[in-house]
Amino acid sequence: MEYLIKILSKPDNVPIVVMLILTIFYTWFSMKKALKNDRQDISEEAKLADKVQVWPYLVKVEFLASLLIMAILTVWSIGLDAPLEEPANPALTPNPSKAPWYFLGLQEILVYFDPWIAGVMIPTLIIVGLCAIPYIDINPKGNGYYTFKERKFSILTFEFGFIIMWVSLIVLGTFFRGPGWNLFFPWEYWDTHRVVALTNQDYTEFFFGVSTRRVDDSLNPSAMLIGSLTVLGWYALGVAFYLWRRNTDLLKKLGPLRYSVTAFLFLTMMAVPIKVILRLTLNIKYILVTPWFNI
Amino acid sequence: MRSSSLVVAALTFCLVGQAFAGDIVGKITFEGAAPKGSKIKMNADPVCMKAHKEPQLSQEVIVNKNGTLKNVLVYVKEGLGGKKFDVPTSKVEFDQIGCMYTPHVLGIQTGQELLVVNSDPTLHNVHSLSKDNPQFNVAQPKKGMTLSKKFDKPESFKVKCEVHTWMNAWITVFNHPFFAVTGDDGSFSLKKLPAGDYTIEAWHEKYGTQTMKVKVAATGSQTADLKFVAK
Amino acid sequence: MFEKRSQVPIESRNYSTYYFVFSGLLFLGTMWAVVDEVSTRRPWKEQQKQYYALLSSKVQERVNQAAADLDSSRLVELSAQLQVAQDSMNGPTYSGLQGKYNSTLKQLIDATRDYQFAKSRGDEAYYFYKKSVREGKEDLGQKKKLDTNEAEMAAHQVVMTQLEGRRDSLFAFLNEYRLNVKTVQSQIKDLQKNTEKWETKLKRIRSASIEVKQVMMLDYDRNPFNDPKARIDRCQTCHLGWNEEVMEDAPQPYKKHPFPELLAKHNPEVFGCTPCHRGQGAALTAGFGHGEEDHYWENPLLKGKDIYASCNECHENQSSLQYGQEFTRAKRVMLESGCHGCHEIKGYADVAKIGPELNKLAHKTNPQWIYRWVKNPKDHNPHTRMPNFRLSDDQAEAVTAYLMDISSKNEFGYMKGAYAGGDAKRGKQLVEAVGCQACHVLGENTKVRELRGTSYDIAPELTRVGSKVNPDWIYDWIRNPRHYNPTTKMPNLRLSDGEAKDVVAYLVTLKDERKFTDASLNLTSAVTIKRGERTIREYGCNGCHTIQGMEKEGRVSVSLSNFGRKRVEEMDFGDTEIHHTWNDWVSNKLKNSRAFQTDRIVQKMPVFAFSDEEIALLRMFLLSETKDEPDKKYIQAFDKKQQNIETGRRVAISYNCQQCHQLEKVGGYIGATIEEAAFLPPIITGEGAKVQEPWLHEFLQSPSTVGQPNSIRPWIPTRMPTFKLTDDEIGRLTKYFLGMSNQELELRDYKSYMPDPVLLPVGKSIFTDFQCLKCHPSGNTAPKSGEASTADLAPNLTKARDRLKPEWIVEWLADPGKIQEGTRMPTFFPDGQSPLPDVLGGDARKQMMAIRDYVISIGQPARPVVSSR
Repeated sequence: MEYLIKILSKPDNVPIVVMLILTIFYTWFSMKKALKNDRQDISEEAKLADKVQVWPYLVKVEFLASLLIMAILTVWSIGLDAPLEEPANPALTPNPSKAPWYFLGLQEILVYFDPWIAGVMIPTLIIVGLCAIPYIDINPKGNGYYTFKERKFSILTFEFGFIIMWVSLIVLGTFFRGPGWNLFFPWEYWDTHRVVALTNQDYTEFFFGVSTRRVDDSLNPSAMLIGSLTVLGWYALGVAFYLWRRNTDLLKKLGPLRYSVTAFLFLTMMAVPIKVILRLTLNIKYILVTPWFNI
Repeated sequence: MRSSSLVVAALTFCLVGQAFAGDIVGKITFEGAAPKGSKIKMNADPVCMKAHKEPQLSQEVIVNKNGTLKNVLVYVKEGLGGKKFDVPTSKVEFDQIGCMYTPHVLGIQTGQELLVVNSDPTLHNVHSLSKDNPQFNVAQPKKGMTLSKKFDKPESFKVKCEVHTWMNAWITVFNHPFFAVTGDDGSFSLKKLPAGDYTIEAWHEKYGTQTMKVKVAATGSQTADLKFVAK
Repeated sequence: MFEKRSQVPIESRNYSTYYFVFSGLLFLGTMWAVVDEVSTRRPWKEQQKQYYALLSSKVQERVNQAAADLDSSRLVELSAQLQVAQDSMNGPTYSGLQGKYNSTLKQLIDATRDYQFAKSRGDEAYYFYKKSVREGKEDLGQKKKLDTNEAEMAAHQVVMTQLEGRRDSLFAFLNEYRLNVKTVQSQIKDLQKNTEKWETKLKRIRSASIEVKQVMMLDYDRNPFNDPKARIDRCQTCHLGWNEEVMEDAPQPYKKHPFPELLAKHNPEVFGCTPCHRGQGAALTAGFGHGEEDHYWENPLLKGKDIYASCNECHENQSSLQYGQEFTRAKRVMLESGCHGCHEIKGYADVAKIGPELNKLAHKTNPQWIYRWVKNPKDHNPHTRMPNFRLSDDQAEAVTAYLMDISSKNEFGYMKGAYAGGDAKRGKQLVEAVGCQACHVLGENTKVRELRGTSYDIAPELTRVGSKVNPDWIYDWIRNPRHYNPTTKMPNLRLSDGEAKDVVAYLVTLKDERKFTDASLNLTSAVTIKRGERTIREYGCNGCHTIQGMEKEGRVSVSLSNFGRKRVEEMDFGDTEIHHTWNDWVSNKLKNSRAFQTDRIVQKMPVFAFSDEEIALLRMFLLSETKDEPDKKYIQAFDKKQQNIETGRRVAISYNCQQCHQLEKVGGYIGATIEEAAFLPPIITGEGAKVQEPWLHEFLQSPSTVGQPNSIRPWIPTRMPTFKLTDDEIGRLTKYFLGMSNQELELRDYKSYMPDPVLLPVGKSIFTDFQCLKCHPSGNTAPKSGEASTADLAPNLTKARDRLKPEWIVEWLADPGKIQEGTRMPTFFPDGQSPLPDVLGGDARKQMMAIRDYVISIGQPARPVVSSR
């Protein structure tokens, strides 16, 4: 535990700790308000009849907040120095070599996926997906007041994607990854010489006994077939769900195009933690290996 | 040699009330059989041979008739603190006569002048084996030649002649004037010492050192007798 | 009216308290930032203030001292003189003279003006007269005018000359008064010079500004891409007093640097501090600068003797540094321990192997001994340099089998039984006298080892030699060591046949008293031999020994060329519980090279038996092994002279000259066994300036002069051995000696040196006056035996002519102690003054030259100059 405290208290990790606290606080705060609203017919916000101008009433409060923030930042910058380490030397990188804390979630994903997928495809999908939200979320409820009941899917999906995946991957990458990017528990010393058993196997080999490569090191078509079928099967779940619930109001309102975009993004998002769990628990390396990319 | 001092200490019985207040006086006695001095063979240099009718004895241990030891250097070892003392203007003479050094043991104050004299009509050289002060090794080929030296740092060292290997003497440099060498009666006196507690030490080239604590009062004189035992 | 703030309409809410508190916080934060920036983070400002306060108090002391030392009576006297001189300038005589001088000056000015006018008028008249002549109508009026004016000029000239004379004499009078004042003033100034010097200094200190002192070397370092990189040193911001003589006893960081002679070559004003001391030069606090607070800085301050590690960055080629004795000793331990045999070490790639050749081993000793030796060499000889490989019985047997196999196949022709008939007692005396003990420890006499201070011996201890080697071999070996091993460092002591027999008779009595049961060894099985070969290869025995079949093997272990930069993460601490630091790893490895061995990790580096001091030295040496190298221009050129010195030095090191001779302030260890100081081998550091090159060449080639009747000091029992040096090696040594005396090798005809016929007789008389023969035997005048002990004899001067450089004799006479510290030769010219004022006008230098010429003539064959006396 002392090692974890040591890492937590490093000046460059302070923002992460602050972020954790703030995230939890605001989630709790908004959910509390939402639940309160959901229990009554009319939201608290609606009860406030008077509306005021941004200028000067909001700006005034914002100005005060900025004063306080500046004071805090000043004292922070005096109290905690920027942590300097050894002079940069491209021939001698530090171990572990870590990205800035806000990228550590992505760096953590690199452990589980190919660089091409983890470094390019997933970030692109995240950005594209975030851009797409206004176009696929056509639920008008929840504007100007807190609610959970009326936006269950959107809120749960968001909370999952942001808190469960993004934040916890950052936490994992920052506090639990030591030298050699090995996993260290909080009570463990970050030993440079730690030895980790390398026993990863591909999905097809683990479940079906079909090895990815043949003895001559060429790819095994049967393994590719099983892998592709699994990946396709995953996305086929979206189609199946559509066929099953196509007569509901929701899906009707969404229409096939919006639905397919939503389903694709949602399934892809869900696939990431599934792969992470498979790796961490069953040492599954890849689901599908092709000459061009691996999943 | 100007020594000086002060004071008194317990057990003074002879000099109480006298004008020489603040001195330490004493005797260096010797116990045991006096070793027979070895005869010095001077046949390497006819001049030296001629200088003496009888063979000279080594000066290492000389026990006086009254059972005291000659050539013992007595000095204040501790108790002066960091006091500074004036440098005497008098010179300390160090003679080479009859192929012997006279005196055999001498004390000198830092900055005081040492005058080395050759009174023999033969070649002598004085080689100082000092460590803290710069060494010197100067030849005096003629009778009557002199050499003057000053020492900056307190230390004790041997002086020898490379031509006549039996010749040696001891010079000790002090940064205070409270030292004395015993003579034919084995007595010494350290004069005009300021009142205080002192440790005095007696040094002999063969028998090493003896120390004694002495309390010196503002007036009077204090005796301090020390004893060396034969080895 | 409202109970809760949230019930107050937003429009009516009052925010002034928030505003006041927040802006107050921001204000306080900003103030804190200013204080932090100006003072808290700049502790050096306060330190500089303290420094200048301390310095000015010390300088003030000097000012007071200087004022006290001032001869005040002389000052009073001079002031009185000044007063008198100044008063006389105010007196009536002076003002009278001044008045006369002024009026004379006025008259002179008037006269000069009149003269100028007359001249001008004359010129005009001359012009018109000349013009009229050219126009053909001579104007006599103008001519007359010209003549009149010229006459007038002459008259004025006379007056002017008179006046000038008068002015000059008056000025001389006046000037005398002024000069008087000036002389006294300058005398006063001289008297106050010292005071003034310190006062000026004090003034400068008081006006010193508080600022960062920075040394910038724009291209000192290289980045990983080999581009120049600046190095910035701000150490002197706090360490201000490094060059202040008064700060000698000041506390750190203000203390004066203890080695000004080092700084003369590494001037901190341009070279900074970190090239030697390391640390973070740009930092301005002690914690970061020295590295206690910044654990990431790769070059923390070197502490204690480790400081010498940084010498290697520029001086890697040198194995001895004048001001880096620790560095010199570390390199010596490294070289003598043979580290370069297994590890690549920059600058020492081509140094010879330190162990003996093993190809004829079977003729020297027996397999049982070899077996016990390879199992644990320290058992037979606790101070051997051979480390313990901790071989198993099997491995030792295999190695023995291989060595016996190759060596018994090699021929070695030596006479059997030729050694017989010696007298052991005489042999013992010989061994003790001729100098064997300079290198070989024998029995209880460990004085040389102790004086040398190393944990190992440079040559095998002979205490149990009788159980190690066979007598036939010893006889052959001591008669001519090169016969058995052509590359051995063991010299030939020129023992006669009888002497050699005596020595053998003595050495064979030196048996190992312990009882050993012979191991049953299978030395002939091809499998065992093959396994032995593999073991030898694996453990790198060829790093130190030449072994047949291993000629092409390289070094078995890693290169040490960047070991000082090795990171802790790259070090394996095995099962040990020591601190994970570089220092601890290295110290433990050197203490026990198998310390980090585990049940899985096998280590092959053998176990040495270094003393703690040697471990510290080697650790420092390893710390110095880095690839950091400053830009060429900061490195002292390893020029021809340096190269000559270093190559010669390595020859001297390889032949262990320093076991007997003191060289570059190191060595002379044999002295520990010689009671009579006069019998010590000479100090040879200044040999280059002292002896003639042809003599040195001949002497090194065949030093048979010592210990024989015609030598310089034939009474010395210790022999300078014959090393069978090649001409090349002698050349290197000669250049080494010359280089150390700042001389170049040049061809000189020493034989043709002719004593000056005028000086020669003078020299002879001084020689007699000085009674040189009292100590120096020369020709037939040597003292008869019994008169003086041979220990008191100085070198025979008949040899001087063919041996000494003439100019050296003069330098030697001037101050022998300066050339050879502690020499028994006295100076006859203390402080450059001659004791004979009547000879050669008392010119000490000339007298020395006269003695020189006489001394040279002593060894000269009879010639007219000599016979004409």
